[in-house]
Amino acid sequence: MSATATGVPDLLRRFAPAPYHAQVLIAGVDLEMHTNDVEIVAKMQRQPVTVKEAAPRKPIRATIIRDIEAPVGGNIAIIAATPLTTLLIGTGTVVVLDSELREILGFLAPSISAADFIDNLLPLLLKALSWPNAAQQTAEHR
Amino acid sequence: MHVHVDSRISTGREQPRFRGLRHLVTAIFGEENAFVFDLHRRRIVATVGNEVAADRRFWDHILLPITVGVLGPALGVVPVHAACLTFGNEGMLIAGESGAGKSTLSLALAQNGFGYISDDWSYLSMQDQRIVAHGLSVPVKLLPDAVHHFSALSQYQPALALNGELAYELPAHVLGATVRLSCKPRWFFFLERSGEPGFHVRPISSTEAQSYVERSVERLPPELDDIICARAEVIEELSQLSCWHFCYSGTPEIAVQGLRKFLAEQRPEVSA
Repeated sequence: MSATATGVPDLLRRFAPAPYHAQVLIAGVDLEMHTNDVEIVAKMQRQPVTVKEAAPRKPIRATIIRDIEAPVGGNIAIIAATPLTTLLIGTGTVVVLDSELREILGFLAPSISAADFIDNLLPLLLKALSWPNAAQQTAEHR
Repeated sequence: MHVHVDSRISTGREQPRFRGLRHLVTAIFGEENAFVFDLHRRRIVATVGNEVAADRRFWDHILLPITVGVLGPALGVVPVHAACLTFGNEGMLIAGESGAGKSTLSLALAQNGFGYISDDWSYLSMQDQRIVAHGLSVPVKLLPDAVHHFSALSQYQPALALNGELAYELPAHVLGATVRLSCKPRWFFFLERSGEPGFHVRPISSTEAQSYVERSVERLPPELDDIICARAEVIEELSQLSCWHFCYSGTPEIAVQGLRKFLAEQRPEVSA
């Protein structure tokens, strides 16, 4: 059954389109971004150019949906349990890194700017790629 | 399930917010109690505060149904929006849109000798090439006007349910139901309320039944193709049950009497 062959509403927003894309190095990680927020792509394209390593790893594919209905505000928290690292800000922003499948999937509340996401939140999440034991990091980043 | 209990989390279990992409689904209750469901690895990662960690009702009546609903398809279990009851040793599923009266009818049937498994969601799996329907022993949910049909409700107060509706939520056995955990369904009914007096039944084709269920199950992304295929097999098997459309108007007793008579007429075929 295809996603469109049913009248069931997409309550989880699993099928939200992500038509804009860009690929750049962020925090030393090759990131292929797919998003519905053109501001995120524009911000990525303004990142300083970094020379890629000779044998780069498979890029991390990110799908980030700007969730205009999401509640704003809340504390920042990270839940880490290998291979998943989840960054939360209140109930409106949730971004998960799957380090095994090299994917980032998430939703951003309207209050999170593209700059804040690219400059601060994404590097924080990408740090998890180098954590030897992610489960120990949960408390430290709260 | 990997659960991290963090004493610094102070929020309780408020209305959950769900989101999902590819193989991951998140549910966040009250800002900081967060669950990540990983359909690819059949795993849950969560962080909760002390209040939620100690709240048994949350785990039994809220998180368990959510977990089976979200991860079930990855485990060979298909959640179907249908009540489930037994007549003798045989099961029946009663599907219907929200508000069609599944819960009211289920309780009325249960108070009249039918075994009760669920009033709203049933969980299907395959066993020995037959469908088995399971319930989760969660409370029966009745809207405030159900007090007109079940006077016992008058001693309780309706409260806000998980979906924000005002409702009575009570264990079915408290309301006189004999609760069973599972059954092998023979009949699949599609309930509709009708303006036409009385009780009416007509057969429907397996194609119609299959189409209804496919339209009502959650959409899954193409990355979960193996799960989608396994689910489609269960739905196809479900559509091979004896499928009927039925509608009634008036009190639930009219439906109970009509359904009982209909099933009694069907039963000789069972022993044949």
